[in-house]
Amino acid sequence: MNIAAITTCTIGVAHTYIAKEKLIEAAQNRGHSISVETQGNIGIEDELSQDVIRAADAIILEADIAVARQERFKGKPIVRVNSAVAIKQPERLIATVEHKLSQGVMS
Amino acid sequence: MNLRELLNESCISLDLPLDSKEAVFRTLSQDLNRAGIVKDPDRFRKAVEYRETLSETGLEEGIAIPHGIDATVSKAAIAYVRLAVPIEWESMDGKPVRHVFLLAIPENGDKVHIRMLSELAMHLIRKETRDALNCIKTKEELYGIL
Repeated sequence: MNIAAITTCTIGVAHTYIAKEKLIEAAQNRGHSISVETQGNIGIEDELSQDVIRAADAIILEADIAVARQERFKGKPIVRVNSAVAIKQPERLIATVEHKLSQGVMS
Repeated sequence: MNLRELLNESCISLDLPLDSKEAVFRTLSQDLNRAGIVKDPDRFRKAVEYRETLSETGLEEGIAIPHGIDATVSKAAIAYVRLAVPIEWESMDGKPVRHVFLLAIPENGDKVHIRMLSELAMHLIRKETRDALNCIKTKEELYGIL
């Protein structure tokens, strides 16, 4: 599947970027394509394009604080977790997204 | 901009016998103060301790990246200690911590430098880096693996 994700954390220097690395690794290990936007201390990087969002089967918002510009994901299935979940158990997180999508239980 | 500007040699300690997070924060804050990076080490330490209350800064396999953002920080920098004996730390895998990278983050800091702190954090979750940290014998070798 195609996943689009955003990572962000309180200080915006460490966990935001570690979570990104972990998410990419886990998604690829499970055979998915993923794009990750970071919303850190230095601002937004690798911004998700409209095309990427349109093509995404699911959106993961990995955040300890409010995610900026969420209106872009209107109508998309969204999974929200805090950064510790993405860092500690990234593969389990991806598996949960797969399961929820297959069951059609995501709003 | 290179790693040596970010991680001053005087802010590296190998195999120090510190027995608590508080002692680690105190020592590294003082190192950063002596290096001219943090003007008020007590104030900076409080910023680091506040960050600790938000979520765990221990990653996996004995590495922690506590960090503080404060006006008393003059530029983005890192202090590192390898502890003689691993200590208790709230970590992602529940294991005690031996390697502490304390990140000092200025308010409204230069983006290039802050970005380097983030890249270091990403580097530290790689297994090769973790393994190498346990083996280094000199400060020079630390620069080599980072």
